[in-house]
Amino acid sequence: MGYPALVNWTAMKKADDGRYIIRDFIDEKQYNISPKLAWFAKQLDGKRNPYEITSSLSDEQVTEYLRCLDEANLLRMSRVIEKNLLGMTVTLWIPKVTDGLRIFSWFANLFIMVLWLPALVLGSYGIMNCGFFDESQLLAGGIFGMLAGIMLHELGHMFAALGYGGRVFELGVSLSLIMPGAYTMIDEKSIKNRFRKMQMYAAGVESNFLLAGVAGFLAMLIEPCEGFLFSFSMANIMLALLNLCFSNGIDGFRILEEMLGTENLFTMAKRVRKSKARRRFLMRKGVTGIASVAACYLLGIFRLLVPVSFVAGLVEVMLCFF
Amino acid sequence: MLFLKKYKKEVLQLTAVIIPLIFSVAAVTFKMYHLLVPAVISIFGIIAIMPVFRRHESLWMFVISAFVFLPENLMLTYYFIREDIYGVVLNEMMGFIVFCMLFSVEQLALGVATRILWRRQCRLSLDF
Repeated sequence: MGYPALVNWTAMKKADDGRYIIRDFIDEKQYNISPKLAWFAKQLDGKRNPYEITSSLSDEQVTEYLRCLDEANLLRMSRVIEKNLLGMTVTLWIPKVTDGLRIFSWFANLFIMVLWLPALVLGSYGIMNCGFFDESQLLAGGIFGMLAGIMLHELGHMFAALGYGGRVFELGVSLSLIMPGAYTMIDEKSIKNRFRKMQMYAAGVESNFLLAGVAGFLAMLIEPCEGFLFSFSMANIMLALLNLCFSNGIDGFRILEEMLGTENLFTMAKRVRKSKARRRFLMRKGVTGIASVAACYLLGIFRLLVPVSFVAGLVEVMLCFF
Repeated sequence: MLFLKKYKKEVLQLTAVIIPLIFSVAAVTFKMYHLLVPAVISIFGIIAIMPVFRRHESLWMFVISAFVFLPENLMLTYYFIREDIYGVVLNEMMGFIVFCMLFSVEQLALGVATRILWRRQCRLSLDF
């Protein structure tokens, strides 16, 4: 991507008056633009020099168009979305959504949804029947398991979202010193059904369990790779369990939000815990109000999860050296 | 006291939660883990029968199961960290992480089942 490109989390629609509406799904803003600017914006793919796209536009006009788009945060210059002292967020893949990909995603999602539990049960049986294995394979298995697990986790989200007719903008990684990870950029509002949304959030974890189950079962069958596959399986189980925790922004918490039917649950719960007036207001609603307050306090436990996990990881790394 | 007087009926209905709690405590105390099955069934039963839980089944399942399965979660957490393989401080942290994982997984499993059983529920409103 050597030249500016239109950000991939937008959609364009022709309005009744002949102008175009360009919608930014991340900032949740929309802009009314002229047909010429809309056409020009569509041509910006990051591979072509914007000044050489057409001869019908003068250099001044192109500069003006680029300035307009840039002011609205609709342009990107590279695959790096965000960069700071602690790390950066990089786009890895922008899927071209076709009907074929949607059909494939629908089947892949169904496959993951139906098979994760039987695979996990079978995998657990395999792990329990493992003999003594070569410990030198454990580290390699853990690392490969983690990498494959992260990849399949994000693909699981993508398959579910596309299978249910949602919008997927991109897949990428966050290379950070504190919390490295991967992400799938999805327009969550494009899926309306609550159960489908819950499945979309759970698909990543289900993929990890599926992978863990398959690796666990293979560990029983392929003796020379037992240690590698055992560790591979365990890495995926850990990944799945961590993703199910009720920490803000993690899959488990999003499923909980859908389950309880509320948005911004983390912030709202924090407000309730901090404000006596809010608590009193809720308690006036009767026993259900008290249950709501209790739920807010229960969620408060999970505030500590990320810092504790981080410190525990750090201590464990330090113990390796001393 | 005023609250108890005002919501006497609802509070009386809430006392039914003692039933799954007894099963749960008995399961851990006497190591009779099959008692967890009636504990889970009785939670669903209570939520289905008592009018106080109506339209807020998921919320109540979240709160009730958090308290009912606390003994199991603590026991399992202790089981995971009892060998002290990480050292004192790290062990406590690992214990906390394991506890959070157990809590989340069981809540999600029960919550999804609750949502499937009772589809029409009121949204949890924490607004002022």
